[in-house]
Formats: sequence, structure tokens, C-alpha cells
Amino acid sequence: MTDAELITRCSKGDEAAFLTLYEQYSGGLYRFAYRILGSRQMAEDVVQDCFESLIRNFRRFDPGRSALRTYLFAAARNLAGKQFRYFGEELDLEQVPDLPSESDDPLLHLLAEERSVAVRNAIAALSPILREVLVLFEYEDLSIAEIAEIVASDPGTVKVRLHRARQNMKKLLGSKIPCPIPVSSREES
Amino acid sequence: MNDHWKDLLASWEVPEPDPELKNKVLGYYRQQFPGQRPSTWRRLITARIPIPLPVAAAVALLLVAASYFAMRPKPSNSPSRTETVQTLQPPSGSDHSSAQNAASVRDSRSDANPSNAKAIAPAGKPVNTVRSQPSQTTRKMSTITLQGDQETIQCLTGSEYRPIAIPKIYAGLVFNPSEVR
Repeated sequence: MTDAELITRCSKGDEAAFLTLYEQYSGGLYRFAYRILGSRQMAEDVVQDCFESLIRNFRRFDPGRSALRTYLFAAARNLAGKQFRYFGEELDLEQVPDLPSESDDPLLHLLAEERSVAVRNAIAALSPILREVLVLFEYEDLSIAEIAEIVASDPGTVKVRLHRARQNMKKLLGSKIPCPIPVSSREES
Repeated sequence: MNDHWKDLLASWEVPEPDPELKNKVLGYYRQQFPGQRPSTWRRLITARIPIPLPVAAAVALLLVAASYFAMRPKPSNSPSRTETVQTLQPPSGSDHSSAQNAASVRDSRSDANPSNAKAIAPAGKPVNTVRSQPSQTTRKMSTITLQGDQETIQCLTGSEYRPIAIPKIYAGLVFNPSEVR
């Protein structure tokens, strides 16, 4: 079932269609918001607001104008931006919980933990406009064109931001990151 | 190299969202689109009626009281039970005068006052009391006692009681068992 069909059904009160739509997009939206905001609670608020906005605007949504995924990520970006303005731009990494490691080896656990914290800190240290591009491209596998639509910019600008984000990551991560950072085929398209 | 970069980024995992998030979003959807409601049966089965606590407490109290009174055992010796007898036939050697005496008792007594119930026993003894017993126990009266639901009377002849069948001679004689003792 296409997104357009899902939206049509949702606008007629089809709960199953809405659940399909939610399962399809909520995970990506939540991960994106979490990596941008660094807070589980704020990320959940963004996802909730995002879907509530969609529910209110089912009939206004035009599938011919933009894809549903792009529309939802753009909404999430705007909502995350509001959270930024409200809470300040700096992420409070002390509030970010440490995830339990599946490894039984204490040394491996320690190394994985160190790597995770390093990546988290490096991404958090990026400016929001670089961070969002990096997260959308690297974590959510969106294309440059899609990201350009989400951030309301042109693809060239997105490429530049992505390049700068990677360079900053390289500096911040030091020896942990290989040099040079590989260029994705999606990036070249 | 590409894998190393991907692995490095993937090392930052995201915690699972609160499961309640889905319910919140779904709740908002249902609120906005209440059109597609569940079936009538489902709504009937899952229907809820809000009742104020004092009303619910009063109803519960009434139910408890009603069930208590319904379950309570009723008193066994009902005073309303009476026996009607017509004829007193002696076991042996009786004459017709005893029946006439009994009939005269019926004529002379009052229903409301069992103390007036006087009869002549078949053996010539005076009958002080005739009554019906609701239980199986035999109450010894001064002269004649009716036993249980059986239509027999205990007649004192000489020094012992003997059972005598009651041929309905005492029709119309009504005694209050509570006053018989």
C-alpha cells in the first residue's frame, strides 16, 4: 500500500492504516529526534507532536507535492528546532543514558562504551545544521535530495554541510576514524 | 573502510521509546476520527457507566441487606398452623356420646380462645387440649395430644397414652399452639 493510499484511509478513520503508517515512520522519527536533541523525553515529544500534526492535516497533505517520509522528517526537524530554542542549543550529554552492552568481556564492554560516548560527543558537538544533515544521511539513509527538501535547502548546500560535518567528526574522533572518510554512492548521485 | 565508519557511527545506539507513546498517538487519532467505532456488541460488552460513589455504596448496602434477609432461616414453629378435626373415635368400647361431647365442645368454644376447648376423651376422660404439632415431637397435654402431621391423637387412658386416629370430628376447632403448653 502506498503512502497516498494510507493517508486516504487514515483520513477516513481507518485505524489499521494509521497503525501501519505509525509503525513505518515512528522509529526513524524518534531516532532522528533523539540524535538531534539528545533526550529521550524530548524525542518522544517530537514524535507525538509530529503525528498529531499529521492527523490534523491528513486532508491537507498532498502526496504529489512531497513524499510522506520527507514531510514527516521536515515536521520533526521543525519541532526539534523549537525544542532547541526552548532548551538551548547545547545538548546536555549527562542526561543521555548509557546503553547496556551485550558483551560479556569487560574489556570489550569498556571499549564499546568508550567508542559510543566518543561518537555521541562528536555528533553532539556539531552545530545543529551539520548534525541534522549527518544524522539524516548516515543514520536514516536519506538521499541528498530528500535531505535538501527536509532542511529546505538545495542539494549542493547539503553536500557541503555533510562534508563539513564529517571533517568535524574526524577532528573530534581523532584516531578512531579512518582517513579519508568514504564517500557514499548516494552522496554522489 | 566504509564498514569501519558505519560501525563507528552505529556504536551510538538509541534507547527504545516509551511504549506508551504509541498509545498516546493512537488515542489522539481516535479522538480526531471517532467515526469508525467498534461493533455494537463490542461496545455493549465494554460499556462503562459512571456511578457516583455514594450511589454505588447505597446500592451495595441494599443488596447485602436483601441477601441477608433472603438467606435468614425462618422460624420453625409457625403459630398459624392449625388442625381441624371432626370426629373422635375411641379405640375400643366408645359410645356415641363422646362424639356428641366433642361436638358440644365445638359449639361452646371460641376460635380465638383455646382455653375454652374442652372435650371428652373416648375413654371418658376430659379433653383439655387438642392441637396440631408442626414438628415431629409429641407434646404431652393433660389428656389428649395430637402428634405431628399425622392424624392421630394421644389419648390418656388410665395411666398411658394411646394413639387414636382422628376421624375429623373436631372440624372447626382451632387452637393456638403457643398457648397449648
